[in-house]
Amino acid sequence: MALEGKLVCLREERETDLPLLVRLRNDLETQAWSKSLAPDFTEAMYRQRYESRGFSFDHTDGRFIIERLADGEAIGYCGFYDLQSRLSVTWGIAVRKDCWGAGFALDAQETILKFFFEEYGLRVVRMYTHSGNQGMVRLGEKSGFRISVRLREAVFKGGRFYDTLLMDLLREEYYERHPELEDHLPPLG
Amino acid sequence: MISPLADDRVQLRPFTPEDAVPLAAILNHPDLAGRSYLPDSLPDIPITPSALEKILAGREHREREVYLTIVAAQTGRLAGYVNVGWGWDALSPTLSIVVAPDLQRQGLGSSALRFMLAWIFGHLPAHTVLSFAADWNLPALEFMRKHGFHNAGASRRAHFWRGRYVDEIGMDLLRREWEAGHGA
Repeated sequence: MALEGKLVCLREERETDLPLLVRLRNDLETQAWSKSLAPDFTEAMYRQRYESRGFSFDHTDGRFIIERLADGEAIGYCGFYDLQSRLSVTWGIAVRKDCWGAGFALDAQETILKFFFEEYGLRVVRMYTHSGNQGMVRLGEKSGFRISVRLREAVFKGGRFYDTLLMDLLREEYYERHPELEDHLPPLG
Repeated sequence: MISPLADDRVQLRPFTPEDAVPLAAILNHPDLAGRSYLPDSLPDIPITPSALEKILAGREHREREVYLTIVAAQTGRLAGYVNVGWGWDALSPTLSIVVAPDLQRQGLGSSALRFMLAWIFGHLPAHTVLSFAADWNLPALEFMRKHGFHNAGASRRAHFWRGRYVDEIGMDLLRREWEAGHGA
C-alpha cells in the first residue's frame, strides 16, 4: 500500500518518472534548496541513479513520487535522508510549479510525517530551507515546524544572500496537532 | 613555498599513523565523552587506535575536507585536531576543533582556530564559517563566542546521550566580521 493522503499518495520511483525528476532538477526554482546547479541533468543520469539503488532493509534515505489521487499523475517528489533509527530524519520536497498552491505539498508533508512518527517512531523531524523561500517556511509552519537555527547568509542564490533555516518538529508537537492519533511510544529522557 | 601553519604555540600538520595511539587517548578522555568527534565513533564507547586509524585513512583522500593534528610546539605532543569541510558548498564550510582537556586554556586551541580561520578565508571563497557544539558544552560555546562566532540557534534533539536529548547549537562567523578583527 502506498502512503495515501487526502489529495496525493506517495509511492516508489518508477522508470517512467525519470522525465519528471529531470524536469524538477533542471528548474532553478525546484532543483535544490541551498545552491543553484547547472540545469543539465539528463534522463540517463537519473536512470543511473535509479538503477544503482540496491535492495536493503537498512536504507537511511528514501525517495517517493508524489502522485495526484484525482488522476494518478506524478506531480513531484519528496525524500528523506540521514535517518537515525527511531530518533530523527531530515526530509525535503519538490512539486511541479503548475501544481503549486493547491494543497498538494501540504498533503504530501502530512502524509510523510504520519509515516515518520507512526511507523518509524521518530522523535524529531527536520527540514532545511532558506529565508528567500517563504513558501517552504509557510509549508513547514502549517504542519507545526518551527525555525530552530538561522545561519546567516549561508546561501547565495538568484544574486542574493539568504539565511539557511533549519526547521524541526518534535514528536510531542506533532501529536498535539493530531488529537485523532494516540502516541503509544513512551517519552525518552 | 607552503606557508607553515605554525607559531610558537602550535603546529598544524596532517595525520600520520603514529598519531592514532595518542589521539585515541585524547578522544577517550572522560572529560571529552559525549562529543561528536569523528564519523563512525560512538558516544561513551572507547575508540581503539586501530579503529581510529581506519577512520582517518578513509577520510584522508576525501575531496573538500581536511583533518589536521594540533601539535604543541613546546613539547611536540599531540594536542588535538581540527577539521574543515566544504563538500556541499565552499560558501559556507564547517569547522570543528578538539583539544585535549589537560592542554586546554593554554592558547593552543586559540592559535589553531586562528590558523584555520585564516586558512579558510585565505584559500576558500567562503562567505561564512559554520560550527556546531552540544548544548551542554559550555566551554566550547564560550570559546567560539570569544573568537567572534554568533549563536544561530539550537537544533533540537540532535542526539540522545546519557538518558537525555542533546540539542546542537549552531554558530556562524561571517567573513566581514572575521576581517573586522573579531576572529583575529
